[in-house]
Order: sequence, then structure tokens, then C-alpha cells
Amino acid sequence: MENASLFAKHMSSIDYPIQSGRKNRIRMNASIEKKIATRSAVISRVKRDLIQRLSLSYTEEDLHEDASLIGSGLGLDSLDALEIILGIEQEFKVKIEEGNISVLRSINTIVDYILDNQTITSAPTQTVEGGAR
Amino acid sequence: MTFLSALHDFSTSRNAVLTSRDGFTAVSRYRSLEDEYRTIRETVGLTDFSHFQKFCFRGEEALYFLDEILPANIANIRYGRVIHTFLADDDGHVLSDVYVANQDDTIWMVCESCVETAVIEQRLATANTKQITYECLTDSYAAFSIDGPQAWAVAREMFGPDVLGMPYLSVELHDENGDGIVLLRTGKTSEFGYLMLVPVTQCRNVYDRLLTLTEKHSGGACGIDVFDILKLDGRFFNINQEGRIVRDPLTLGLQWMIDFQKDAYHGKTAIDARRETGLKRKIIGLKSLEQGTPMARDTRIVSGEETVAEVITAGFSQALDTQMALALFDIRYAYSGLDFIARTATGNVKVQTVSLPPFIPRSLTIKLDEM
Amino acid sequence: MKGPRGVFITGIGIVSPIGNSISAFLTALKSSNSGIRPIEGFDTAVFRSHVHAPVQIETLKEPSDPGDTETWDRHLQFGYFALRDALRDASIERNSLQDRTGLICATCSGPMLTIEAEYLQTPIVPGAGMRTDSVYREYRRYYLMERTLVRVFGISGFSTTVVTACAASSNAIGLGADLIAEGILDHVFVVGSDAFAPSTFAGFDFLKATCITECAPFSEPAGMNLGEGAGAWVLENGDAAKRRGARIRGQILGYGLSNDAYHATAPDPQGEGAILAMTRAMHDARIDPASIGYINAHGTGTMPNDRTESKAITRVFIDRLPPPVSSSKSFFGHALGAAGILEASASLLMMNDGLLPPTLRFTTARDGCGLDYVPNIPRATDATVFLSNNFAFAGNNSALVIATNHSEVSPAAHPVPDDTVITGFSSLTPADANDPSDPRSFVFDGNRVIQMDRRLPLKEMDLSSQLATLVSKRAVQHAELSLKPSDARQIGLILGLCDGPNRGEAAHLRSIAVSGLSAPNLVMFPYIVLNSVAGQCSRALGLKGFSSTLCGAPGAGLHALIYAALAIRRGHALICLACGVDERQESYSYVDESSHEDAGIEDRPVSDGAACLVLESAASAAARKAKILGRWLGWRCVNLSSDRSALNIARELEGFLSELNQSDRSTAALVIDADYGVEAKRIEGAAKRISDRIGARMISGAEFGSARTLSSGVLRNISIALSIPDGSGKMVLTAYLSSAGQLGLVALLID
Repeated sequence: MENASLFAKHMSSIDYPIQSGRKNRIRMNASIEKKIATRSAVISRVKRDLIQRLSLSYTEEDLHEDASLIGSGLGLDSLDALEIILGIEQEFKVKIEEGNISVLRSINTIVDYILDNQTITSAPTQTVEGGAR
Repeated sequence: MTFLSALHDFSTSRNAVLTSRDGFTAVSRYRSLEDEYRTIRETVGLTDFSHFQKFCFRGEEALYFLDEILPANIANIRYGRVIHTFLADDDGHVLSDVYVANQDDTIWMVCESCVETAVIEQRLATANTKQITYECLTDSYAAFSIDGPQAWAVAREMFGPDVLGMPYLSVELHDENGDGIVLLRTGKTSEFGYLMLVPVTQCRNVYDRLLTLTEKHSGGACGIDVFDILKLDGRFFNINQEGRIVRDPLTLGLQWMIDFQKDAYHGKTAIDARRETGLKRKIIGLKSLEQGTPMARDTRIVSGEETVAEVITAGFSQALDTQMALALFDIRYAYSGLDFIARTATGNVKVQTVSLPPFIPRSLTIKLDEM
Repeated sequence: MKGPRGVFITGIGIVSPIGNSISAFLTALKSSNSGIRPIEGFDTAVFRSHVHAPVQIETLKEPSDPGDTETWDRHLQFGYFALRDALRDASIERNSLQDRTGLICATCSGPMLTIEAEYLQTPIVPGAGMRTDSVYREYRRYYLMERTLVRVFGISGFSTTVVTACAASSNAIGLGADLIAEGILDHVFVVGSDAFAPSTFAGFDFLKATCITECAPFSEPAGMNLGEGAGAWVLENGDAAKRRGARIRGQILGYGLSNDAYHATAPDPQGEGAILAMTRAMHDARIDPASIGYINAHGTGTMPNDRTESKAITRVFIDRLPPPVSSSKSFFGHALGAAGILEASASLLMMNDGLLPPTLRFTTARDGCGLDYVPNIPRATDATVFLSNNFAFAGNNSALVIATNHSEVSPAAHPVPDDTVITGFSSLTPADANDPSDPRSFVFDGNRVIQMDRRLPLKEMDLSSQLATLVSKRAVQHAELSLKPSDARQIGLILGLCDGPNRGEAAHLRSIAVSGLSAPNLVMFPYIVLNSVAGQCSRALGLKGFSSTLCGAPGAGLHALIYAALAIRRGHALICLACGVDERQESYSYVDESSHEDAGIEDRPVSDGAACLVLESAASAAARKAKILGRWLGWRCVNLSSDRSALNIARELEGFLSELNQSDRSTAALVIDADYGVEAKRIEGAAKRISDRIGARMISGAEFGSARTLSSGVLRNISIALSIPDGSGKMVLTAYLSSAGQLGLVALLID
């Protein structure tokens, strides 16, 4: 049956080999290597922070960087979200303004935000409104 | 015997283009894929997914039975909740994208599969050593989905304002009009989505009501093919594309669907072994940085002279206004934000890995409890 | 409310950020003067908010007050002064309180300043917290205020402490009213109190719940301000009030409780819990929504609360214009455990003078807030009945219906209460869960507990919540009740505990101790409140019925049982669970407080444990043909201040027995238990006299293993007694004596 052979072909693609087949690996381009090093360091810190703060029973490798964090995927709730934000702000010295709905969608979006904003030093909030201080 | 939706004749009378695979025939599209994409990303689309496999169980033993088959923790599913997981074979290869819904002790299992219904039914039957009673309701229940930033408005008109309180991944039974609709708040496009299981005897009149409401909110009927691109740029697992090709849930990034502490589920041994070894390849999203030949299945992605990935699935994303793809990357290069070259059939195209989903869906800006 | 001539409020005492007397309080309310001030005392640079509503009590002390009040924890000082002033307002001589006078306390954080000082080795604000060298740990328990006030004022009737966070004092008022309406007590003092604690402020601020400036409920900007203070009411039976010509301040018509069963901190966005509380309150008062002239909102100022509350009010008053609504938190912030009583006081005192209290700083209405919020200035009114709402963390909701002093509403006639029966029970001890070879017989093996029911989300819970959820589910199953959502939402839960789960408090305060106020533990912060145990249980099982948590002197399980039975008699619930939970606290050791009197008494270690009984109205049980395990006969609970001898206890027991009027019945068992070693000896002595005479088998707490429990053991022993073979038609008497001298007695009939 047609479908069976299609199925069989798909079954064999699990160890989908890289087609270059070359034995000797080419050395990675230096600028890509640097970008990867920077990014993977932040990814690792974010994952460790998440796992520890939220007592997740996953390892760093289990967490795909694009997996959804809130709602679907890991299914964290609003309280977890606040805890994550607190952790990111403290750990990476960035400020996430309220109402920013897109930062926490995945580990990748968190890392993107950190890498984009980390150079901005965040001063502690000192509101001087209405005679409050 | 090919599965046909109860609305098959009705759909063909409305000039649907059909598609057949995995033992079923369904509406591929009514209009162009671009039109249908815009409908679902901007208003609301109504789609017939009746080819999904549906099973109905009752009682506590059923939960334990499913718990030993599926990788998620099914045993402690709460009343009114839906769990999104997958079904694997004994070699740890995905067969279906699965929802399990607990509607007051009636347990529904709804499967979108890359294999024929018989394969799924066979797997359940073989596992049923304790003779649990259950029903295969694929033929007697239709499945309709409404998806889009206005899907909630259609749901509200169909089911009343309380439906806005349904959390994501929850289930309710609506029998107010005697039509026994099982309503799940789900969605695999990153827009609002509701899936309705409707007894076939009622499905025509329910579909008519849904269609009227959908069109009233400036939406329209859609086919199933547009969901390939919607899942691609909405970053939802697509059993029909990467699921069918890659098969390994770990490489596919489905670890969140698995409770690794469980003692048993189909495919556990193989999956645990792969987890132990570690991933060598990983699925990462790509977008084109320039015009050119679109990427396609098997297009090589290179960094300098080295091949670093192969494209699994690709398509044009209107939200991004460029080509997008999922590629299976060598783990060393599997990171977002890097520049590569895609070697397409007719020439090189600059591409970049992206965090997914790569845009903010309209639905994310709407807060249902303020509606 | 039904009963001898209604429940009247005859005295009010106020300790608040806008004044420490009724006149100061009223003046501030009428002149729209808010008590929200900049925080002094610690550095608020790391926080988004820098204001709160503080209380000044330096001038409150008088020569006749106890000499050492300055050494007391701040919340206790507030409560003391408030009660002192309330008694004065009611013209009741504190040195000659009558019998049948009880005390219901309410708090959210209790002695948190003292607890903070303990974790940090020093108070955060110099001078705060209880200064004492005592090794007895009573000073850090949530029933500290109750025990102190019982002792200082000589209160002899029933006392307990409601710990349902922000709903506590509203609930406490309702419970006090129930006790009077039911004819059990003639006077009940209700005292709600909380002191501002920096660690609590840090938690709310990092949850982004606080307002960056003075709060503007239902308006802009969103967010709450934390306050502090205490309120005390004297509730009085109508006959008693009339006899002594008491001045009436108002009348309690009814109240309602519910649980959201939704989330630890966020309210159910559909407002179902709030709707249930308001609807039940009006039903209890037998009053139509049309009769409500004003609603005092919980109105914290946060977006989730204000929006949900407005939506809930709209749905309760469907088909009509809702009455005016305002938030008194705009005046004195969120006083947590004192919020309910202070806000109801503000409403009552203003409406007695023909005015509605306004919502201050109201400019434009926030999205989703479309009601009449009485902006900024008090408004003249001729309304005489109001509704007062309070909604808490962990999902507890409370609503009161109160009439002014010039109202012509008379207390509603309730139907004759049905019998209360017991239709199910379950209990758990470590022996049930642990490995039989495990030498520790008093602590649960956490991993094994999780395995005990794979259908329940136990992995995410602390031990107390796991135990409460397990026994509640098993008891419900034993009673053959369904837990489907439509059934579970009617089931109530009253939970009694002595010490709450340690996990939340320890995680939050240790984090602050190590890293400072800028490091609250947000995931754990919601689990500091004692009602989080019942909250997690309710959420897991979908229980939205009549819901409360009591922190008693040890023996809290008995308090829970008493309140559950009372709730059914008063028609608040058809089915109500009474649950007791114990979690052994490692952070402090148990000391026999009376060991100095009686050397050589060996104290048993305290054990983990949980027990639950299902109480049901007889009609409900009959309608579903339930198996009846026992019938409620009666109860008595007194504080023995001076004479705690075995002889006096025996006298109380005899008095109770004769009151029951069951002399033709034999007693199958006499269940006894006590707090510490000396009390156990006393109650054993008393019980022995009785049991010899009536031929009952004695079951003592000591019988069950080498460990004792504080809240759950007594309930477990009752369930054992109800299962005695050949016990049908015989009575089970339960007697519990706490180290503070509270004697609780309950009589049941084995079916």
C-alpha cells in the first residue's frame, strides 16, 4: 500500500544524517562561534534560574528554547510569570516594563530581551509623585 | 475505506478543493491559502476537522489506562481540564498529536495523526488488557474548529458570555439546545481557538450556525492546509509536517508533553535512552532575509562550507512577509539569531535563525476577561 | 438573624490610620481625610511603592491597662486597645463579664513582626515585635491575641481565631452573630487586628500589587496600599441589650462565605466566588437585593480585584441598577485581618449619620469598572441596610448584611433547623503512609504521601495541604458524595489548625533574612497565610461552599467541627466538611508549658496527622439515602480561667451531660485529649469519674501511638468512637482541654 511505503520511509528518517558526510569537521566561523557562546551562556543561566525558582522537574536539555512558557507548553501561571520576571531583573540587571506581554513567551524571547537590553543600566525605581516621598 | 466527513457533500457543493492522505479525505481549502491565512490571523476561520480520531472513556480506570499509554500525567487531570500530549509507538516515534479532556468523568481523547485510524485503534486495543470499555467515535462525532482573534466572539454568541471564562485547555459540555456539543478551548495557531465535538446527527445545523456567526464577524470557512503555515509561524507542533518527518519527540522539542518521572508509557524505553544519550540535532526556525527561491524540504543550510541543517518544512508567512522554515540543525549551531545561507534549487539565499513564534499574534493583545 | 430578638452591635472600638476613637474615625471619614503616609522606619528604595497607612498608638495606654503592653507584639496591642474601647463604648464593665460571653478573633499575619525578628535575628523596624525571653513559643502563634484577650478580660465562653486572611474579620463577625442567633452565647466580642510588616509589604510590592502612590480604587492609578489596625465589636443578644438598655449601633442581618477554588492569589475572573458570598449573605438575611442601599467593596485598588468585584456586583444585581459602591481602603489602606471589621465600622458609623463613605482619589473610572463609586465626597443617604464585601488570598470570600441603628428591618425568621448528621470520615497518621519498618512514627514520608492518590495534584503542595486534600477526598468518598464540579461547589470546608504550614513562611523569610527585603520569595509568599491549606484543598477538589479556617488553641479540629455543625444548623450549608490538620514544625520544639508545675510528666512528641468528618443536614442525607454514621447532639466550649482542676472539669462535663437531656442513653465512649501533659492528667482524672459512673469506654489521645496531634487527633478519635461495634444508639462524648484552659465538649449519637 502506498501509505505503508511512505510510512516506512518516514520511519527511517529518525537518524536523519547530515548530508555532507565529511569526516573532518570544518572549524566554526569565528564570529558565529562568538555569538553562539554569548547566547548559550545566557540561555544556560536563564534555564538554571527557571528550574531552580519554579522547582521544575526538567533538566536544561529538556527545555527547548522555543517551548511556550505561559498558558500552553510548560503551562506556567501568572504568579510564576512574576517570579520569572523578578529573577530576570535581578539576575541580569534589566528592567521589564509592565504590560510587556511578549518577553515571557519562551526562553528564546527572554534571552533575546536580555541580549537587547543588558547594556542599559537599570536604576532602582524612585517615584517622586504626589508628595509620596 | 477512506474516511469522509459528514459534511463532505455539503463542502464539495461549496467548491471545496479536497485532499486525501492517511486514510481520510478532507477539505484542503475553499479559497486561496493567502486568503484563508488572513482570515484566521485577522478575524475567524471555521474548519472541519472531522477526520480527527475521537475516543470516549468513562471512569477512573480509564484514566489509569490512558496514563500508561500517553507520556503526560493523565492520572491527575482535573475536571474540566484538557491535556495536550502525543501518542508514540513502542520505538518512541510520534503517531498522533493528542488532546485528553476530562468532562465530568467522561474522558475524551482526540487525535490528529500522521497514520491511519486503524493504527491508533489497534494500539489502544492491544494495550487494553483490562478490558476497559470505550468507544471509537470518529465516525459518529464531527469536529469543528474556530480559530482567530475573533473566535471568542463567535463562541460567545454560540454558547453565552460565560464561555469567555474558559481557561486555555479546558472543556465544557453544552447541551442547552439538545445538541450535546463538547467544547474545548484549544488552538494550535497561537490565535484563540475552540474545538467542538458534535454528534453527526446535529452537525449540519451546528455547522450552519457557526458559519453564519463566523461570516457575521467577517470571517469564513477554511480548509485544513492553511494550518501548516499557521502552525509554522505560530510555532505549534505540526504532526503533519515535522511530526511525520522527524518522529522523535525530543528532537521535535516536545519534552514539555512528557512526564519523565512516570513509570510507563508507550515508547518510554526508547525515549529515555535517547534522552540519556543527548540530542545531536534540534529543530530551529529560520526566516529568509532576501527574496529568492523559497526554501523547501531538504534544502541545505550552510555556514561557510559546512552543512549545518536541512529544512524539514517551509512556507511563506504573511505575518513576517517572508519565507519561513523549520530546519533540523546540528546541535552546535542550533541557536536563534545566527546568519546562514540556504542553498536552494536556483541559488543561495541569506537566512537567519529566529526565535519562534517570530511575531506577536493579534490574539495575544486581547484580554478575554475584559470582554 | 433568627433567634431571640436578633444580633445587635452595642459597642465599637477603633484603632486605625485615621483615628483611634469613633469620633476621630468619623471625622476623618466625613472630611475625606486619608491616612496614607510615606513609609518611615525602613528604606523603601528597592520598592515601587513608598507609602502605607500606619497607626499611632503611643497615647492609647492608660494606667488601668496591663503593665507590660509595650512588650507585646504590635497586632496584639492594637487588638487589646480596640476591645478595651469597644467595651467602654458598650458600657460593659470589663471586670464583671457575664457567662455566655465569647470572643472571636481574626488576623491575617498575626505576630508576623515577632516572627520576622526571629528569622532575621533582629526586628526589621527597631522595637517592633514582641520582646520576651520566654522559651514558650506561644508568642509566635496566630492565636496569641485570642489567648491574651481571654486571659486579660476574663472571657469564659467559646473563643477561637479566624485566619482567612483579608476576609477574616468579616467572617469573624458572621460567626459571632451565628453564636448569638443560635442562643449559645449572649455576648460575643469580635476583634480583628493586623500590624504592618515589612516582609508582607515586600511580598505584595514585588507581586506588583501595590500602588506607586496613594491608591485609587476603581480609578487610576491601579494598585493597593497596605495598612494596619484593629477593630472590635460587641455583639449582643437582643434580649440582653434590651434588659440593660444598651445603646444600639446596628444589627447584623446575615452573612455568607464561599471559596473561589481558583488560584492562590488571583480572584476567579468570573467572580463566581464573590457572587456566591454576596448571594448567600442576602439569603441568610432573607433580604432582597432591592433592599441593599449601599455596598462597601473589598476594593483594594488592584486591577484583578476591582474588575472582578465590579463584574460580580453587576451580576448579583442583575436586571436592576446596583446600589452605590465605595472602598474604604482609599482611607486607611488594606488592613488585612482587620479590613473587614474596620470597613464595616466605617459603613455603619457613617450610615447611622445618614452618609455614605466615599471612594477617595477617584478621577476617571478604570476599564471594567462601571458602577457608582461615590467619588471623593460623602453623600447623603436614607439607606439603612448595606452589604460589606471582603475577598482573600487563597480564595476565601465573605460578605455581611448589616442594618443601621435606625433601620426598621427585623431579624429574619429562619426555618427550624434540621438535625445534623455525620455521613463520612477519614483520617491519616504517619503509620498509614510510611514504610512499616520506619522508626519515625510521627512524621510523614513526603514521597510516599504523593503516591497515595495519583489523581490529586499533591506534588505541588506542602504537606499540610496534601494531608488536608487526601482526607477530605476520602471522607467525601466515604460519604458517597460526588466531587463533580456541580456537586463539589456546594460542599463547605471548615479547617482547624494550630500551626500553619511552615514552608511558605520559612522560604519567604529566610530569603529576606539572607538577601534583604528586595528578595521576597514570590512563589512561596501566598502560602504564608494559614488559610492557604484549605485554599489548596478546595482548589484541588472544587469546593466552593461555606469555607473558613480557624486557628485554635490546640484542639482546633474540635473548633472546626463545632463551626461546621453550626453552619448546617444556621442553614449556611447542607454539607460541610470539618477538617483538622497537623504538621510537625521543625523550626521550634515543643515545650510543656506547665512542666514547672508538675515535674516528671513526660510529654509525647507532636505528630503529623489529618482527619476529616462529613457533616450534613439530615434532610440532605435522607434525600440521597446516605448511610448515617452519627448524629450531632450538642456542644459546649468554655475558657476555664482560674479553676482548671479535675474537679471543675468534671463539673462542666456533668453540666453538659444533663443539658443534653439524654439520660436514658448510655455512653459508648468518652474521647479525651489534651494539649500538654498536665492537662492530659487533669482531663483524664475528670473523665475517669464520669466514665466510671456512666460505664463508658475511654479513648484517649495517648492511645494512638507514641505521638500526639494538636488538631487532627481529636477528630480521628471521634471517628474511631463512631465505629465502635455494638455502639448503635449510644453516645460518644468528646472532651478536649488546651494548655490555656479551654475545655471543648461535643456529644454525638452513634447511629
